[in-house]
Formats: sequence, structure tokens, C-alpha cells
Amino acid sequence: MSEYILKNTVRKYRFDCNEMTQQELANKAQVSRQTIVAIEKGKYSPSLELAFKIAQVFNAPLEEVFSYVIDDID
Amino acid sequence: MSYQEKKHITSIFTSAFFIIVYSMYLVQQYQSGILEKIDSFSYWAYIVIIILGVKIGFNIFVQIVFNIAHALITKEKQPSIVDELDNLIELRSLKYAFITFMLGFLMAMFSAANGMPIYVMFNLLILSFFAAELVGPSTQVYYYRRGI
Repeated sequence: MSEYILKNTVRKYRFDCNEMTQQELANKAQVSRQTIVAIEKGKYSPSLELAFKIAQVFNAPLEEVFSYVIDDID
Repeated sequence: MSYQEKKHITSIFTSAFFIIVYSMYLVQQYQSGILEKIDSFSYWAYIVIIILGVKIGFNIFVQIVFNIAHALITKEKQPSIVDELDNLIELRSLKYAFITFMLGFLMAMFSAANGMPIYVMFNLLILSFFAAELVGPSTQVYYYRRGI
């Protein structure tokens, strides 16, 4: 059985941006650090607006930060 | 554990404390036979208003104490941002709290419709309010932990 899930590379992009902290990213995206933690862990799928804001912070295209991929459960 | 989780766990304890104290008071009143003697709508309406006022006042007091204690212990500021995740979780918790209260409300109305004493109806309303106050923050802690 397979289903689509939202994956992200936020952690990788933070690392590439001189180890930007979750708090710094949260401040730039105007959300709480907890929300960034939840997004990185895949516990929360952000709204389109927030996804764009995060991609803008990294100066990267949206589809490189977030991707909608098939997750094989079995 | 995040600030929000700690805050809602504090609310859970406050509501649980109120449910226990009020249930003990009710049992005591019931055993002494006082409840059955009071047959006035205005008396029970007055009691409901007093209890809701006390509960809201106590909640505010506990949150102020919690914020001061949290700031002193963790040296962290209270988060100033309420973002989309917070709003979404709050919305879901409100839904479950509302469902809980509505179930209690229906039970209260059924008790009145079946000719049970009015103290049963009013106490079901009071207890469903407390239960809703317990379900709301519990749902929030659940969603902050599990994700949404």
C-alpha cells in the first residue's frame, strides 16, 4: 500500500545556511520554533503561504524545500 | 516540553482539581440530603453563575502564576507569536470541548425531560462544563505531541 506524503529538506537547508537555528528560521518565517520543529519532523504540513515563506528564507524554489512523494508503507 | 504543552498540562490539572473538589462536595451534599430539599431554579442558576465565575477567575490566577514560575525557572519569555499551527490545534480542541459540553447538555435536558430533580440537570451542566475544560487542553497537548 502506498500513499502520498509531504517531505521537506528544511534541516538540510538550515545546515547549508551556516547552521541557521530553528529559532532564527522561526523568526524569519514569523512562526514559533515549535512549528519549525513540527515541520522538520514531518508532524505538520504547513500552509502554502508558510511553505513559500520558508522557501523564501532559504532563497530556494518551493519544490526543492517541500516535495509531495509516494511513501511505501509496506 | 514546549511552553504550550506545559501551559495546557497546567490547565488539565486545574480542571481535574475542580472536578474532584466539586464531585466530593456534591457527594457530601447528596448524602446529607440537602440537594433534594433545594427545588428552586433561581438558586441553581445562581450557583452555576458563581461556579463559572470562580472557575474562570481561578484559571486566570493559575495562568498568571504559571507564567511567572515558567519565566523564573526556564528564563524563557512567553512566546509572542500565535501561528497557524497554534490556531489549528486550538480550533480542533474547541471542537472536542464543544462536543463534550453538548453531550453533557443533552444528558441534562434528558434528565429534565424524564422528570428527574432539577439539581441533576444543573449539576450535569456544571460537570459537563468542567469536562469540556478538561477535554480542550488534553486535546491540545495530544496534537502538540503527535502533530497534526
